[in-house]
Amino acid sequence: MLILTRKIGEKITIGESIVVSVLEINGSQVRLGIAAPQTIAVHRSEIYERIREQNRQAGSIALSQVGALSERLRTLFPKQPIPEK
Amino acid sequence: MTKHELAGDQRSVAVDTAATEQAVIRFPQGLPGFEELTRFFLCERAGLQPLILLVALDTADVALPLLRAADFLTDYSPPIPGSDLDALDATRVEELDLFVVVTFEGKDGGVAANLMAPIYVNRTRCLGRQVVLPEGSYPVQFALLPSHE
Repeated sequence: MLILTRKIGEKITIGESIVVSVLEINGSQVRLGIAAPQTIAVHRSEIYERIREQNRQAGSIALSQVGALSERLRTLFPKQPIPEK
Repeated sequence: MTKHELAGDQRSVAVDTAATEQAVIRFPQGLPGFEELTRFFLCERAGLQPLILLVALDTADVALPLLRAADFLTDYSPPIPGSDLDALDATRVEELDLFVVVTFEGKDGGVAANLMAPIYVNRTRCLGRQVVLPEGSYPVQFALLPSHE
């Protein structure tokens, strides 16, 4: 792993099109700005890891559970509105 | 087993395989958590409704339960970045089917849908992609049913 020391306002360039800027340091927290092309997905690692975990959990459904789950879901009418975040 | 029955079985298997091959949906990036799996098919049977299973073709034990988002959720129209449309070989979101992954806890546990990472499928091109939306746009776990345990 490459380890670099940077100060506030300094940047790191990754490849030709990704720039990471150090915006603010507050105690143990660092705010970073990331400029990347739209084709590059940028997410906090824990969010991506949570989605991975959810997929793994969902993907391990036993066929014997599918019937019961679909039966429970049939009760879900009418459509659910999504609450304001 | 007679020769006739054997021939019938072989024909039956061949038909099933052909049907599966036609319906193969490629996920070139895999799915988060299953990055190595790139070939799936959508299993839509009356007995499963409203669930649809996204079944991996290259392993025997991975099938993700999905819901067609439009069947259950109002006001769910996540913005899909142009790069994801390109990856799905589509020009408009209307060309795509939109699904959400269903998660559950045990037999009578809570049931939730992952609205932050919907699955888009371009059936015409047989391409699929799970898109991770920007943080704060939709929840990772949107409760559909409470736990009965």
